[in-house]
Amino acid sequence: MGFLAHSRERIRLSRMRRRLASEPRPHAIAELARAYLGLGEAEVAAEVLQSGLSLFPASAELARVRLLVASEEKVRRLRAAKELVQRRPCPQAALELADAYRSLDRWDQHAQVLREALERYGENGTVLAQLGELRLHRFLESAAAADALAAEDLLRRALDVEPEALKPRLLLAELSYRVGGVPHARAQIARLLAIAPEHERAARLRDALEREQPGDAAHAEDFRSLLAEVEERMRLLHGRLPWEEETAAEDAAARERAPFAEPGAEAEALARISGAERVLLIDERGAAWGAARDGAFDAAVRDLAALCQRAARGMELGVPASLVVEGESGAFVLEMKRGALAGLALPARVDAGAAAVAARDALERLVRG
Amino acid sequence: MREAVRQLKQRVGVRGALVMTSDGMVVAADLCDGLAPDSVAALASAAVGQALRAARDLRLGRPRRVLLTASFGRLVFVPVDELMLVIVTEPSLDLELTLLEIAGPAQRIRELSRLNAPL
Repeated sequence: MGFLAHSRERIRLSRMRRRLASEPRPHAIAELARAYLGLGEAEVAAEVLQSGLSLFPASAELARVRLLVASEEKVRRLRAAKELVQRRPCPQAALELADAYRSLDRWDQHAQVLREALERYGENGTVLAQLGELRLHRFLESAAAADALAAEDLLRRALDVEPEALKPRLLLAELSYRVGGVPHARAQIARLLAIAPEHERAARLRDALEREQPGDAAHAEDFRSLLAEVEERMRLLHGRLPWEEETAAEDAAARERAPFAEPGAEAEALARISGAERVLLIDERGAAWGAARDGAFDAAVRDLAALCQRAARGMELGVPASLVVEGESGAFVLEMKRGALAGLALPARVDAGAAAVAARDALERLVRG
Repeated sequence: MREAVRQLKQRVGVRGALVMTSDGMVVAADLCDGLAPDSVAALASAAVGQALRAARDLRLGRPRRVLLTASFGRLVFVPVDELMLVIVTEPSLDLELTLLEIAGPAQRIRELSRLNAPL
């Protein structure tokens, strides 16, 4: 936008802002914030939203736009970090880029940048500690010994580079504690509290460790042996490791869950869960079930599915998966999978993204069933 | 307008952008290799026309945008006054971020279309 057009738009928005001060309306406030965002003035947009939310704290639209403004700030930070990495590559720039990805929950890119930084700049305490933390989180999800070993290796290397660093030592203590290595964990916490006696999280972990019974502890010297020892002891005690039990229970639950027993009831359930006014489910053979269906809605679902096929094929976009048509008074969501369709008509208050997730789940079960 | 479309194409994950009239006439376009503006506009015009008709039949109110996600890409249609902005993006991009990336240039195109509109 040229300087003149920019100034004109700013004047228009200032007037709108003054009008809204005397007669505030949530939708208009959200539009104003969006317009400021369009001008690249995220701070003013945030200010407008803040005052709007103080007047209309329950407004879902204002809350959604605030989320967008926050995301815009994060995107800006990411752009700046990318530029910095190109202009002046160094470990700090890489860490800033990794952190920007992390703030956006882009965990794959976060890990990728850290790994590249490690290859490019060699052993760096902060990079190693962050990679160790990632691997520790993965271990907590996977309960795989390989993740625990990798996390331990990375955190120890971080401490080799910076022996006084608190975070990798705390994470190492937590990792040891979680696999039952109480003496290992105690040793790390004692060292950490010697460096930082006021460290609250470390103190809480120390208290938890003190409550552990002496007989419960594993004693192996190195971490690999410690893991093996813990596994062996758990097997002797319980016949199966706790995470193996959880996995087995999940498998059993998945087997027990009926795969789309009654499509009509599923369509009703989908309407209830998603908040949709109308729902239509069509299987790959063309059989249809729905909630509050009518002829126009059924025709729209089928026509739009055919349209998606044509458009995706014509533009070489592959297989169509979803279509969302958003209007001011509501939205239409169409999910497609292997010839089966789920169409939903949503009122304006319902989040189309969440409804699409529910529709995808129902469709998945319909196709599997 | 061409400059605004070119800038839009430079955004992360955007493969191409196009501004067209409701009957499929290309106003400005910057698409990646393999996508011909006229073919995209023809397809987009048919697609968006049908989607907007459905929006009217289903009483969804004034249309804000249409999103089509497929295995190899995503199409975003944003009505800009009398014109239609069509953006082709990578399928894996975070949707909220994609829309954020689009918001600024879309606003600029809206401004430009108003400046160029006959009085």
